[in-house]
Amino acid sequence: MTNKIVVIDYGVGNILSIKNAVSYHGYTSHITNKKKDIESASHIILPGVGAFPAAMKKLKDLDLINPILEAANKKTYLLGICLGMQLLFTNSEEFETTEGLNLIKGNIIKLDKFNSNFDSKLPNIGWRNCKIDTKKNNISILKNVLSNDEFYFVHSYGLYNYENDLNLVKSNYGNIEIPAVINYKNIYGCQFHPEKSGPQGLKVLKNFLNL
Amino acid sequence: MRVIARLDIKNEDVIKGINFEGLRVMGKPNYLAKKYYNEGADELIYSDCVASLYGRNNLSKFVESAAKDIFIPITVAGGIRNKKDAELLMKNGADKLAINTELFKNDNLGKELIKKYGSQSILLSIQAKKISRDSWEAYINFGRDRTNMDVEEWVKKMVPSNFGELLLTSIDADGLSNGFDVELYEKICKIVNIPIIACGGFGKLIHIKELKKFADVDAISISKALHYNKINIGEIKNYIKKND
Repeated sequence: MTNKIVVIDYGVGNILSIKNAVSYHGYTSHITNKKKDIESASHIILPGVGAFPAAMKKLKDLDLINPILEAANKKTYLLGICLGMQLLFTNSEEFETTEGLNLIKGNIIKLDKFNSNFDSKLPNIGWRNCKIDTKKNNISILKNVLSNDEFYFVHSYGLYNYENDLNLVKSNYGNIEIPAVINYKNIYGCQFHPEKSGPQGLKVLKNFLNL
Repeated sequence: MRVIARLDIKNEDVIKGINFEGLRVMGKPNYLAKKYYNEGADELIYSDCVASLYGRNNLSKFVESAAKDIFIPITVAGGIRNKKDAELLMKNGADKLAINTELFKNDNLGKELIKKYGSQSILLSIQAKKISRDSWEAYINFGRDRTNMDVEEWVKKMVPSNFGELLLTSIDADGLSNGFDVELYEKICKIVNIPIIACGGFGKLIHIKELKKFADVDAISISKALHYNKINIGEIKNYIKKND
């Protein structure tokens, strides 16, 4: 089967950069909000910047929630980026508690609630490495990624409660640790922006497109 | 600490002057952008120096072509007057927008853009000129015009709108390569809790140490030292890593 790469366009995020990063690797992407494109995709990228409740509302208004859930259930590869990763989880407390796609169990909370002694600035903006433990972590989109490769993060919320066996790597910010890359079955998520993280980020995106 | 390469653009060229005056042509925007990306810049700022003055915005074509093969965050500054200007830039590959001049006519613009694009995409840009031992005045139109607004007061008034970052430029230090206006950053860092980008005055590595000693800035923006090949970004980043 030839790959069909779909970038879900629901009005949030810098979709052009994702399209450019996919093109950089010689692939074509379909920027779309059509149900039939999502159904026929081999790889789906769910981008996202902005606020969680607004993003969920847009997915709902465009009738995209069920198509995404169905695609994920029939083993289409799915990559959530930044807010797109957070949407994969059960809920978020950004502004008000809002249900997410609930493809993976977990809650999104504000970074300053990760630790009562949190003393860093928000948003967390900057380049951070992922603490990759090659013995423990075997996430295929991190193939050839080195523990000192840095990625561009920009966010104020992060994944906090999740199942113990969730496959993930973390990144440090001040005195907290933030899940940076997650994997559950055919579903992947990056809290950072691979399309904005230079050659390292392009490597992660390429690994996903090669799944 | 992030290292940001800044391109001040007039018409088709990157330019640079001293204290925002006596502008000289440095090169083509996307040639320099690619060079700084390859050297390891963490971000780029494209700033249109005549946009506010002439009521136009010229940068979307540069950003659109840059975004094809430059994969780091791109901030656009200069001449963003309304939602339409913002949308054109965001649609063409800008990740963040920095606003200054228009806020003095319409202080709601920040809030409107933040609501649409999120805090992380909208920066408060301030051009500061020292007027006494302990105070600075905010300038607009690429450092040309006074506002009679005290920088500290302006920061306190604007930051609650939820801007994601503060791009704070010292007009006095700009283009001199004699170091940052440390006192300005020391003062403003104490009153805001969002990331601050220090802009203006970088000439050599020791200037970073001098700045960091007194001010908790999150990023530095550099133009002249890069355009004149005085230093490359790799050296700056190694220095920051070593002194962290």
